[in-house]
Amino acid sequence: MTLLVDVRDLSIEFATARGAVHALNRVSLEVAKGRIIGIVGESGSGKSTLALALSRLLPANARIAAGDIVFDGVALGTQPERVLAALRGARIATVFQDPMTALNPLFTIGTHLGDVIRRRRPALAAGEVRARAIAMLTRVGIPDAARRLRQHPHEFSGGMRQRILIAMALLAEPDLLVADEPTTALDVTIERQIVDLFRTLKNDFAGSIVFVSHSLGTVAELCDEVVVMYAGTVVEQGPVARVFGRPCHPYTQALIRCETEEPGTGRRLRSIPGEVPDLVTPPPGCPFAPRCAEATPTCRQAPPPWRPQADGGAAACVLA
Amino acid sequence: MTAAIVPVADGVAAKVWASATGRIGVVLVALVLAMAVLAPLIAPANPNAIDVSNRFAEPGLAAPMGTDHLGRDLLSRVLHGAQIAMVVALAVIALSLTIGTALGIAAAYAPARTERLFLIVFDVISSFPSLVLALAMVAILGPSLGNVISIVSITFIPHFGRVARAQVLTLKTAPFLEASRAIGVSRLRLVLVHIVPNIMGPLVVLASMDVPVVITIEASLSFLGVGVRPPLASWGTLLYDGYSYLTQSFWPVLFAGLALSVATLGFTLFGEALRDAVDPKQRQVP
Amino acid sequence: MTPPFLAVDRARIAYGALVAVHDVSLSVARGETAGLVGESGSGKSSLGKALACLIELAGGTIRLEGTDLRTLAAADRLALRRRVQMMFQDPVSSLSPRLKVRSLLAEPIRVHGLPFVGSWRRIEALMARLGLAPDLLDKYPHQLSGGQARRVAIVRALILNPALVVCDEPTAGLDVSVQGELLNLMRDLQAEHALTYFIISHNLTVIRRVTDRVAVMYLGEIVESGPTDALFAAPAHPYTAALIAATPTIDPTRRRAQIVLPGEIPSPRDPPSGCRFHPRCLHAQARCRHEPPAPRTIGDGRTVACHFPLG
Repeated sequence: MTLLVDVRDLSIEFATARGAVHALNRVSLEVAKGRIIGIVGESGSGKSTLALALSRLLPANARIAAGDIVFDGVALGTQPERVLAALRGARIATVFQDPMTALNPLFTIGTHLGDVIRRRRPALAAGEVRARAIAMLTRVGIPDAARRLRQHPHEFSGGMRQRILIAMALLAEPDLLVADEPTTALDVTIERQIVDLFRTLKNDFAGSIVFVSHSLGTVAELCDEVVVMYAGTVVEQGPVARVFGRPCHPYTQALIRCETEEPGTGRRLRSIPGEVPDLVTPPPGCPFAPRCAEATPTCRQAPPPWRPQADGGAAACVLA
Repeated sequence: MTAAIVPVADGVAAKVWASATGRIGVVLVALVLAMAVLAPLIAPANPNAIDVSNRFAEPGLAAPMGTDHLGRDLLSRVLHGAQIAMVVALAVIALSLTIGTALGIAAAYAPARTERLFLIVFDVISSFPSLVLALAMVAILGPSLGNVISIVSITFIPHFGRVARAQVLTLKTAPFLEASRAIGVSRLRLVLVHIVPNIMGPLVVLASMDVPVVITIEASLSFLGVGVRPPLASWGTLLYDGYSYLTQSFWPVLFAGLALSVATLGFTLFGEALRDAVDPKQRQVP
Repeated sequence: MTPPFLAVDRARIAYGALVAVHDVSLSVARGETAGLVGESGSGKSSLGKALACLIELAGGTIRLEGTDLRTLAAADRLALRRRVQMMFQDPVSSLSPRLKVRSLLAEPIRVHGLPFVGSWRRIEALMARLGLAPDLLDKYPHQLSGGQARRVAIVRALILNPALVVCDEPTAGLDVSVQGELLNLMRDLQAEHALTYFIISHNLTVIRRVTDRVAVMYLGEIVESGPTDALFAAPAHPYTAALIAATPTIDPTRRRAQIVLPGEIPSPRDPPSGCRFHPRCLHAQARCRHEPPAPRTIGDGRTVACHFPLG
């Protein structure tokens, strides 16, 4: 299995009025070709920062403090902007969270899709471009595609717009598709449609997919592997069945318990006490230690060891 | 989301002082205000004391800015001119801001037809260049300090009214207004306690950037002879007098013009620094 | 027979030509936690606001403890505010940005003319109960964390000692790991202050965990209602079944049979004929296109509006 993306010890900081926010802290991640990796985490976990880093769309106040991302053998940290711009939209495509704002209201869908196709295959004739656009729209489940090519974004609903974004990402024929919470802004039944769409598309898609979500269930249904993030670090990763079936890290265990319990009305609900640490001054040692029921004094002082597991993946915990 | 609507007011003063242009603006504004307030105390002579034997004196110890065509001390006249400029500017701004805001809020909450009426009135008033309108009204009503203030205020009311209305319309859907109504807050209290403080930001910035405009309008009116009347002397009057006798002495025009420029520049720089400091955009970590 | 604590009868809410709530009837018993679940365009938020008397009904009635809310005189409306309070979706933006927390908490006292000293003691007790440090009183809403703002909003709502609290998406924006804490707190407060909750949410997991009874809304109408456990165990309306099946689950053995609804949620401006759900319903038949189903009881406090209910 060859590696498409190799994130090595990546640390990213944001400059804010309050000081430097350590959004990512020595994150390592491997995405093999043809695999679907899910990245789950809650607020402050750094999962969105990681998604932006992969697409090289970090905001101006972000700084790569350490580490790097190696994309198909090329280290991205030292590359000039024009090389990165050439990668974006061609070899790395992104589906964003908010379908409302990701499309330009002035242009028709045909223009949006056409731009993507022409960038990827400049030599195509106009008729062929149109044919591909129609084919992809139909494939993502938009009926009457030929007519809808002439419409503008505001004439589509949220779910439809998300399908258009997915179509645009696929038309770029990328090696890596980064989906940053693509279903979060959608209604429940529409979310189910999009998840189902991803399920049918992934089998035909030759590249790798990184699917960022706060929903463990969605990742469990769609992905091969999962990476669990907390406060800017990776706490556990591995095959989906292993991580969700036999979680090794206390945070993963607690999170799964919170999501899957069915106490019936009347019993007290589970939660993880405390709050995510302040990322301006992250605590020494394991970031989850202040909230961990099983923390030892060592946990609070020294960074946790990375313990590979026999049945796949690894966890960053003394107890793993 | 409310953060994007309501500008953050923390540290505005510090931000204004931190920028170079802001600092210059603050200093000049302070200078002009000091001149206006202290004029009666620090003026070396009575600004209206005529001494025909001392016409067109060069600047010197007795008269640091020289004298005009009637031998009146220019420094004293410039200082009192500052007083006129400030009184008119601040009175006009205060009046038009208050009335304009009140009308703007009323327009935002009024039923559609009434609101359209408000907007038509605003549009009619603001479609006249303010100077032309002021000229016309002063010609009808006669020049005096009170009239100048009232008339110029009227021309600025639509300015604030429209901005106030736009602000209220953005705010109308804000959850905190609904939450306040859910507590039982009355309409009046809602406007005074919850709406007005949250729309003042842009209005205050607008007001500070309008001060130089008002100063210039007042000076223009006085220059054209339809502003304040003697014994009051505004910079505009000084400019007119100085211009009439320019061949005999350029000092009056120089000093009056300088004073006007310093005041206009100072308030403009201050207003711009204020606008930049009250920035509604907030940076968030993604 | 004593009237139910809260009774909504054929309520209709319209914004101009757009009918957000078409014909909704439901009742809530004192002390229970009622839920209202639905997606965009269902009208659930509008109904919630009507219950809190923030918008007017265009038809139908809402009766609280037997009193019709539409017939209240102005003075009584103020008193009504002390019976019904609302918790808003985004706590930070529900607090007036230029007022300090102290003024925000003092406002209900001032508006209702409550005794100052006694009320402040109550506020201090509530703040302590909710774990809010006294130094928060001098902060502005934008200086509070989301959790703190939420608790300040709760204190503000409880100062007036309401009987009914309408909660609009109480867990919106909250991570799963902290939702439990909030919901447990709300349950404790319910017991301590004898509250009745009306919880509006699109999140079925939350609804299932905390409500006693639930009503499901689609495009301005209630399609099904009943005791929560029974409804989730065996939904009668196809839409309810689809909603329940739509939630992704981790455990592959517990994944229900996939129900993927076709099409989009129609706009309330242009609802389908007959049964409003028929264009997306996998069991629709000719009758569904022409005849709107009337709600009928299917035993055990459950109602469903469907010509061909499941099961």
